[in-house]
Amino acid sequence: MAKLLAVAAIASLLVGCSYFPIDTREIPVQAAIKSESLPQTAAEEAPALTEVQTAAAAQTDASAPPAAELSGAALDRAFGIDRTTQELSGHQLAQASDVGAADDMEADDGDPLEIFNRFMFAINDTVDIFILKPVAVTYEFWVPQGVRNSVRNFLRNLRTPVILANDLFQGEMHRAEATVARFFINTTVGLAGLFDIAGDSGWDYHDEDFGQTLAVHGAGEGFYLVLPLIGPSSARDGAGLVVDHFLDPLTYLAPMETGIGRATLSAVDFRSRNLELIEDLKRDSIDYYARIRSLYRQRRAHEISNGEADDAPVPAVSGSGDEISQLQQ
Amino acid sequence: MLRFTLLLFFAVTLGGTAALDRPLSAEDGAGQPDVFLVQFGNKALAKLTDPNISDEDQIAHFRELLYEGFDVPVIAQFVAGRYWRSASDADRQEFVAVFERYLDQRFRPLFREYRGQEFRTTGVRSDSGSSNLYWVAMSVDVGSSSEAKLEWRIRKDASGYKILDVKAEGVSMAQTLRDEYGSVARNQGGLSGLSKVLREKIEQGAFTPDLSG
Repeated sequence: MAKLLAVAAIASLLVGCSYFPIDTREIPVQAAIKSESLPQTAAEEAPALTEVQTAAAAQTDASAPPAAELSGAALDRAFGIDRTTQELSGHQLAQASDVGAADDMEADDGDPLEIFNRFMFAINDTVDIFILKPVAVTYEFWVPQGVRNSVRNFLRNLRTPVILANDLFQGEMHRAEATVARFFINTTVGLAGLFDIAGDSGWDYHDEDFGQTLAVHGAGEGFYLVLPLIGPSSARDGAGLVVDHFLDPLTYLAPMETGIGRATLSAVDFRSRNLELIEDLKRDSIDYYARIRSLYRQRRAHEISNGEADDAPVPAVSGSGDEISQLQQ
Repeated sequence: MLRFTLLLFFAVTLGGTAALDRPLSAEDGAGQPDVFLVQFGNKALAKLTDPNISDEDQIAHFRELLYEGFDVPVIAQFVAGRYWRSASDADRQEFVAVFERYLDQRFRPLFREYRGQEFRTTGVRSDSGSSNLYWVAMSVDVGSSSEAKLEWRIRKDASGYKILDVKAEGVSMAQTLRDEYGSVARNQGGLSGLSKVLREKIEQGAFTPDLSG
């Protein structure tokens, strides 16, 4: 049992990493933007700007246009928020049934374990600061980009059985086909998965997990949960991690050290690809915990829908005629 | 993801060589929110990326463009969440003003480093529940043969089109701020407490992007 827990905890880092709302495709964006030389560094520029901003603020405060107020339901409609698709407690549903009271459902943020979660979040952050981040920085500095890409490709290839199982559980035959094609192409031509030949041929990588499978079949998120080492999760997704562990053939075929090593390497690889982004995220936040919680939930919703929710028509609002007409004016 | 979203929130609108693909839907006759988006981006580019512009002028132009292209009061109301309704008029106005300062500190410096990215709108869909709300899809070339996909939430009112939100990879900037601000407001006793926290961070320059990397 101890072995199982150890492997599950560390191996789930792999899955936990994929939950994090930062996609490695963002890296080129930032690199492209930052690669340009700057007239001034931020440190040089900031004091002057702050003074100017402060001076301008007095004028701004006095001249800010009056807020054009919308009712709660109309505001949700304006921003495409469909409260009916979110998971509500009975109390929240009762509130949401009142037009204009939709935002009341945010009262507890769906996070009844917030005190525990914030504590665990702080521990994870400490582990990140003192262990994971230094290792990731060293990894990024010493290991060439090509080697790091091959490491990621190899780790992704190892995850194929779990992805395939969940593709099938969700009835996603096209994605299952892509998963199988990727596995055979990359395992053979791609030299045991070190090279993503399939991706270059149009079989793009996608991830799936049992938490998503549960969601596809109607399971609610449950309460928000921050897991030790793993990070943001939920009751549903946490249960999904355990199932994924048992779906993974390596659980039965390889020694525990293999699972630990794989999970550790995955975490380091992920962290190394998002060093600056995570720092920016921390620096920007006035409540880092709340921001990560929001990003996790939005990102998970996006993953569960395979991105299709963004393309779907926004559902009709069920507000009153007055509120809709107010918005349409 | 957030910085990615935040950067693109403005930077994308400043594409130096914006290309415009016609939208997928038949919204052309109704209003062309995609055309608005591209034209607004080009206008902002022309006004804010001049290397000879003073900080004072850039601040003035930024604020002018902010209110021209974005529905700032409605965005501020949305990100304030449930605490908006229980706040006094004075607290609301104070929050809108502080929120505007946040936007200024967070985004305006990005124009100093902007070198141009090509972008194109790839489709428009109107909201099924409201004929004056649109999602405009945009694809942005980000180098290394990669591209990012964004969706802009745009509302048409009597004065024209206004941007409400932007989504990247399923993450909404407005929703993220709303969730975060809601948590702070809850712990700080409401909207005035949130404004106070934001103001303190602004005065510390905490939102100024680190452009030294």
